[in-house]
Amino acid sequence: MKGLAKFFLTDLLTGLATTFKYYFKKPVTYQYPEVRRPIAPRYRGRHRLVTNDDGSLRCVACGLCAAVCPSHCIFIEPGEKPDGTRWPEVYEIEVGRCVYCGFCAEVCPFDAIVLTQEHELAELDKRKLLYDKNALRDKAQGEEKAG
Amino acid sequence: MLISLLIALAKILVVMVLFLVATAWNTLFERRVVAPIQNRVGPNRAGPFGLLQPIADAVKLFFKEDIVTDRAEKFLYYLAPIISVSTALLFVAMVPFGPEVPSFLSTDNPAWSKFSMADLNVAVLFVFAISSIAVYSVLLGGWAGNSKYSLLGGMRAGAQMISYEIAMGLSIMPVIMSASSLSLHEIVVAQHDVWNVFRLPWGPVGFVIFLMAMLAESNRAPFDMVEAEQELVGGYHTEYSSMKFGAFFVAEYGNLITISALIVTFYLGGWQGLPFVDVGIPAWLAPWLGIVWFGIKTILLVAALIWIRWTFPRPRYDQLMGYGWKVFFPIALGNLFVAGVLIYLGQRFGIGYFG
Repeated sequence: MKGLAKFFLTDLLTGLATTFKYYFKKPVTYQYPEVRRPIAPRYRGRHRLVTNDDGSLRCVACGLCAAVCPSHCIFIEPGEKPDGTRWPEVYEIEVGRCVYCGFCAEVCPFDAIVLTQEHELAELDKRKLLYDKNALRDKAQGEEKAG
Repeated sequence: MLISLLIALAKILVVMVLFLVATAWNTLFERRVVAPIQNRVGPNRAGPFGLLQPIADAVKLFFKEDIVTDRAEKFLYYLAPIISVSTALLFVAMVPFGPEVPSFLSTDNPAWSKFSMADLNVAVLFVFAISSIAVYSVLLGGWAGNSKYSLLGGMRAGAQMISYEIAMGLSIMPVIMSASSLSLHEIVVAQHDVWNVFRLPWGPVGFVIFLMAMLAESNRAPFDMVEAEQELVGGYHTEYSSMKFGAFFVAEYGNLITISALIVTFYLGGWQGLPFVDVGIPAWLAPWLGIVWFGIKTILLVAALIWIRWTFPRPRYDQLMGYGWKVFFPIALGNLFVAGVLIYLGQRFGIGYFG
């Protein structure tokens, strides 16, 4: 009986039937640019500098984020406003080197930096991946006037 | 004389161009057929349904850097891809695509009216000879690259192809006995009443063995020991790049079409249509319909071979040789004996079914 089954290649036919079944199944592929997968609620993407109601940056340039960053991609130059409060003169993130660990947001005492869910950051020119503070700030607020 | 030459040239041009185009799109066909098996969509970005993908692939291959390894045996290194493509193309010369047309030119020369580039009376022998030469492309390609992996691939190919040649030859003998001819045209004509695959008991057995042997001959999965990516990097074409690699690729996909065409010719009735569909078709249309039948059968068989490739895992090397010598060879031999007796009896007592 076993030999007969072997002679008629039943095992091979079973295999062929198995693969043939997949023609009637829906492929698991997401056709990316048209169909996007839902993003997890806690997904960590591009950074955003949070602003106050008057449009000024909440950041006080303490430098904790730059210190904790494992890939050293944050660069801050602190400055002082005329009223004596500290603010970042320069705040740059080299997004190309960022590993999106979220430590900067975690460590920030003023919740001045958060990670958004935006993740389609590809550029043809590497230099465009250096974001300054105007690129990082909340777009809706417009540019901050210095001082 | 001149008109003979022109007709021959026209046939060669049409068949070769169509064959090469079919080969290019065969790569896309394989990728699209295999995608659902792996729960994917397949290439569908270049043009509608990805139809421009082969063009993109070809352009990419042409513009890639052509690296020749320093210690390669230059002459053989260049020769191997040439052999592989030319043998793949030579197969096509024999394939009969359709029956004879009642000639629209002249009845002087029967060769003009045939739908094949050449109708040799020893076409079967020619096919075997060419398939043996095709081994050289793999062997030489593997050796000339001067790399361990490609050499191993080439040696495996040599052993494998020589072993399976025997089973292939023996599984085709009943067909030749049944048709009493080595001409592919005659073999197809002899299948007018019954396709060879339906001639019990030798038909199905011979068909399966011939199919397996042909798969092994053309180094396609599950018998792709030659390439065996997991063990041998890329096998015999490891050291090839750019269009020289492309040539091996063209040969592989061309062979996929030609082995399907040959299997159709030998066992699946060639251009013969299904008997109940042939009724009521005007005489002038019938030969052209033969081409359609042949095309449908070949495409279905190509799809089946792709299906087989992506279903089965690759056997171990010793298992592969074991199948060839201990399973296919004796079964083919026994099949030949049974077929011989039945065909003799059939011809003696006039039973057409046995041939």
